[in-house]
Amino acid sequence: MLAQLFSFLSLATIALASYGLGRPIVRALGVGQEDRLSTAVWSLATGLIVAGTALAALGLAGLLYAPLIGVFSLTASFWAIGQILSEAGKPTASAEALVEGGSGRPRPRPSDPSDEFARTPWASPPRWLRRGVLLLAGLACLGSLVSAMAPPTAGDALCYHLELPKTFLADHAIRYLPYSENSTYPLLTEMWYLWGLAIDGGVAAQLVHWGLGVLLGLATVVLATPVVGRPWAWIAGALVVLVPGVNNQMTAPLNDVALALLTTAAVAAWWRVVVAGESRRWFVLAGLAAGGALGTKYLAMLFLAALAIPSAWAFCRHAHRRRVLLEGVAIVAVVAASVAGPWYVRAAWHRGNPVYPFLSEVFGSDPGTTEEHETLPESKSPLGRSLAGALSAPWHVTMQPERFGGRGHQLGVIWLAAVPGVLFTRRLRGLGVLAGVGLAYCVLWYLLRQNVRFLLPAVPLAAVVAVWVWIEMRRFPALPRWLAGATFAAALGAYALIPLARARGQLPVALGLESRDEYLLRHEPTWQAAEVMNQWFGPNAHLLSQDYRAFDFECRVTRENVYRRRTGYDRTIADPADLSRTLRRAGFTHLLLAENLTDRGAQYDPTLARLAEAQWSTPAGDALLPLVDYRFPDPDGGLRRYRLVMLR
Amino acid sequence: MIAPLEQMDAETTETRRRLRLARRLVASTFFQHRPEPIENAPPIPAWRAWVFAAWVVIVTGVYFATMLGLLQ
Repeated sequence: MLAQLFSFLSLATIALASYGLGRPIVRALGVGQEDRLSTAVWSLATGLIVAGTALAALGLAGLLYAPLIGVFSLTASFWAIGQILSEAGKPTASAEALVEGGSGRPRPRPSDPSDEFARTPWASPPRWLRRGVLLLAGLACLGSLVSAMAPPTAGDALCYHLELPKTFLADHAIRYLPYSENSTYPLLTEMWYLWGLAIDGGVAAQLVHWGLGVLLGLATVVLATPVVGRPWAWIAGALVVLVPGVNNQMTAPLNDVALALLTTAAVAAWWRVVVAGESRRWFVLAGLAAGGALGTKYLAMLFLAALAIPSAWAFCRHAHRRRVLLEGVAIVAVVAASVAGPWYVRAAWHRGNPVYPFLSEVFGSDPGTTEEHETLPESKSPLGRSLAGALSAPWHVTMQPERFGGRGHQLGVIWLAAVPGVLFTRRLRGLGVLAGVGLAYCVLWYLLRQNVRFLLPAVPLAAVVAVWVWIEMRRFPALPRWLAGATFAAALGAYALIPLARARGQLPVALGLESRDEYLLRHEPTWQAAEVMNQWFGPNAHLLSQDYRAFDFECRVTRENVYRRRTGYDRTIADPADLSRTLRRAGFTHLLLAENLTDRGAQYDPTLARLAEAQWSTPAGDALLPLVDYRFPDPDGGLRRYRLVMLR
Repeated sequence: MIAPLEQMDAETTETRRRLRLARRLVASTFFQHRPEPIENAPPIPAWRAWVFAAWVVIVTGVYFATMLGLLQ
């Protein structure tokens, strides 16, 4: 239980420190402070970007030491507490605006500053509706929180989202790792995980992504508020965290929710100038968020391209706004390049390609690898790239998410059911722009990578559209209104219950009734091998592994398939007895052989296992000493066999 | 002289009341509905509302049936 409390405390420290770093920037810009929610969202988002960039700078300078990060975190946290206390009694910007200039005499004002946003031509949602939807969102977040409190076992997380920060922290530097293809990706989110790892461990890092999901919901509220009003904006925010793909990702340290948060912040800030005509300082926040998004995932480039399309449209249609738009493009580009640029320069420096391994057709393939990486493989486009495929995509993505990356990442049925309702709604100022960005992004997604989790940046935009459809549904006759409303309510209710049901397996470890080691023994296939390696050989060993799950090993882990592609070591072994000698010369001390004994679930390339079997059949076989041999049943019906082997 | 009122049994009255309710329900469903105006916006025609409601119900039904393995 103490471990769980410490992980929570670590999350709170990271959140407070981020707020402490971001608040002065937001205050200096003088925007994003309409009320406490807006202030908190912009301060946290800005602070996270600044902190992640600072950690990256420390890493590039070789100063990634956990004590240093701890002192930095505590200092920023206390700074944040001081700021919160000093601002506690002060009115917010919107409240100040309600005070008449000079006289200091307050005008009649709403009881809550956020009520200002409630002044829309349409009525607020009934209290029971708002509370009901928020309750469902709260239940969904609670379910994902329980799951997030279990030790991380998600494949991609153990492969690189946590493995890379763990390695950087162990090396005290962000080094180039030639045998890790992911090590030259933009890694801003991984810097936040590094922060969690430095303070606590994998669970704190995982909780960071859960917190980012909550922040995504709140950022959606901020995005939707000037469009549909604050009371309805809460429903849009709740809708986002109820999306199965969003809620599921909040349980694992990946980076799609982080990307969605940053793209939402970018479009929210951009909207305030381009549509609402507010201060151009919003462009700085838009640039910071866009830079954060570009520093998180290459996919952000697609979103920014989608954002450029309505901007170009506005540029052509509104001559009086052209200067503002050009200024905006310049500011956003400079700020975003300052934030994200180092990651792309780093990739170009080490790989000769700023977006490695993509666009190798343009930049040339990595000289160290023998394989070509196709940027737009057919296998990543299950619907092809035809007009008919594009038109049917919403249906297929909703009904068959397993074709597009898995049911766990699905967006659910709300969008397909609700968004077509715009055909009967009135036009709403600013909504068309958001819908245009979302639609343009979906088209680009369709043309490039048809993976359903890559659609998460469009979810907050769709949520605003869906909420407007629901507002307009009040102009329906009673019976169809209730019928559609009850159907939506049933779907949302199911989406709230699924995370709770899914969390049952993690509840004992989340409550401290089961130890984290016992949990990992049951849920993580590589845990037994990692335990042996960590206890007997420590951090100085070097493992060549057929499995890509590396996070639980304290020692350095190299993925065999990447190593083989880059070196072709298997082709240099003429005599079967040479395997152990060749690999020992390359610096490896151990092998982890993995195979799937069934045809279900993940399959492994058998090259290394076959070479090891060949050496075992020779007199030199005792140079490969088996340490552990065990089987692990997968939840999907597969059965894995792991063999940990020492090279002698 | 006051004309005598024809007495009606309770069962007939209840039946008529239910028929009246049913007629109103059918009429309000298929004919132009004029509820209290909201924000001075005209109500959405009933047929459009029904088309949308049907779309929502069918899509959601197919979706959950597919997810539960009832439909391939």
